[in-house]
Amino acid sequence: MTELCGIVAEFNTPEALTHAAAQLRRSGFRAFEAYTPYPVEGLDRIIRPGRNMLLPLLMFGAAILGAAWGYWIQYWDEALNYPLNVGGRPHNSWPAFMVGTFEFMLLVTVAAGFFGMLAASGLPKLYHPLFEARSFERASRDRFVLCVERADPRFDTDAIRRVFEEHGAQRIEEVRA
Amino acid sequence: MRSSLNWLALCAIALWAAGIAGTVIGAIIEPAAFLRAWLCSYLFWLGLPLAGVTLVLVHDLSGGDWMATARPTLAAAIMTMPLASLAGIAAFVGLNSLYVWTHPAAGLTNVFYLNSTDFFIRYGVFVVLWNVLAAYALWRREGAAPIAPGLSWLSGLGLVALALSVSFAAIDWILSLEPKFWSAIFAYTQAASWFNTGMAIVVLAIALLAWPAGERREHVGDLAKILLATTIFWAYVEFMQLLIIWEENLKTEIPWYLMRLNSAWKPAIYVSAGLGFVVPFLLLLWAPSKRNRAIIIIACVSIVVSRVAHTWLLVMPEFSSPTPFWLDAAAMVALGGAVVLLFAWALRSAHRLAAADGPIWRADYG
Repeated sequence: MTELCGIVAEFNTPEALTHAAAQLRRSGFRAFEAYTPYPVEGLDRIIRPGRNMLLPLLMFGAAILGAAWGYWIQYWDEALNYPLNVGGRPHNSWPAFMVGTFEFMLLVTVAAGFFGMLAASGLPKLYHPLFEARSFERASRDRFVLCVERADPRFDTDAIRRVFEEHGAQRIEEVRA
Repeated sequence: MRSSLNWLALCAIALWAAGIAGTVIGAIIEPAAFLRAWLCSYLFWLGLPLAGVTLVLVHDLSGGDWMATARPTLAAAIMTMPLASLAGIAAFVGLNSLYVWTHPAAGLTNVFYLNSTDFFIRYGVFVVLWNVLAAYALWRREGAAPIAPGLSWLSGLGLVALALSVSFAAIDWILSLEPKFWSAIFAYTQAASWFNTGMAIVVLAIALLAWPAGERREHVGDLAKILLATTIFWAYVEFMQLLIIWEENLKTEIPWYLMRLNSAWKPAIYVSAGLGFVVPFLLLLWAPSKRNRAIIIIACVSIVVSRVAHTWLLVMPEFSSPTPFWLDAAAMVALGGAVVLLFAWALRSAHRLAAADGPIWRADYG
């Protein structure tokens, strides 16, 4: 419990948190994260600006894979493995396969998005040093918490404290792991 | 910039003149073919004011900042309602040559509904209702603010009336071309088609003439989202109609599709589905492309072209004697020129509602 892990600040309002985060980014900090009880409009673009292409591309790829997979299951079953004459229609009848193809595409895409999101966020994670901070207790209820991590190349305790105080932080703590 | 726009305007006017000349010549030498061509043109252009009224009434109930950017263009689209709704008269004067139910065979059970007198009464009701709703949609609204909360029930009621009247209009004007064919979902497909037509023209006008800067760029993204959603909705209902009728394979219903598949209009099926769904869907799927001017222009043009082909596909294969294509195109351009001119004129007079950064276009024509 001696090594410094980061500095945490607790804010009363989402606006104060947003302004503090914007100030941190302007000052050149990169490794910081916000913890809020509900999504705060625009905060994600302050903390991680630019285009995040990984998940959209993963899901688009999964959509194409899922559609092809779903169509193939039906085509293999109906046209190759066990051809049945249904009302004299061709074995490879795309209108009939469309609904299954769509549903399967949806399943694969949503699964890729869900698990991709978990992987990209580093979840599931059973423990984080931040849990030790007193400020963090109300982050899921009515407080807005901002944490600058030690990993930031510009990490400087005093400068970060000044930014937090300037924006009306209710409590500032050093988190150790 | 200015001179090239004047040059463009000159070309547009020349095209319009050619369209009018072609329509007049066609009406004289082939009156029956003219009626079909004009019916298609009427059905297509009606989408512009209908979509405008629908979106304004929906916004009254839902709200949304995007209306700040869309309001002037939507208002201009709604201003075309009198012309676009009354243009049907030119087609309906020849009702007997357009619709076979005007001289019904014995045993047709739906003549109590499908007869000329009731048809004209319904047409009159639609025109009056839609123009009243259009006037209501232009009244006491500015920028992103919807109608006063105390009046929003009127917008809700208006939407219900609009949905019902549009459904019956679609049945009267298009579905009744084949009086033995019935599809319960058809009214949805046509309503979605009309909305996509108008929405694509409105977003195209915004992208071409009033492309917003800065924060307002998000508004275009929202409008593109609405367009993407209704494009998907159209594809969904259109495919559901095909799937159900294809699965039933009934003698009364499947000929409607076979007639189109085996006609000269078969390519229009691919244009309608490809440019009306596949292309705009793939283009607008990615979030940043919804704010990209070039991509939005391509997607809107694609949808507009697909709706023209779709309208022809709905009407033309019903007639055994083919209409000359030049007449189809001429009628589309002749009414289109008038509607677009009215739209452009209304857009200029709607400046006080325009974006703060001002319009980038001030061509002098009309």
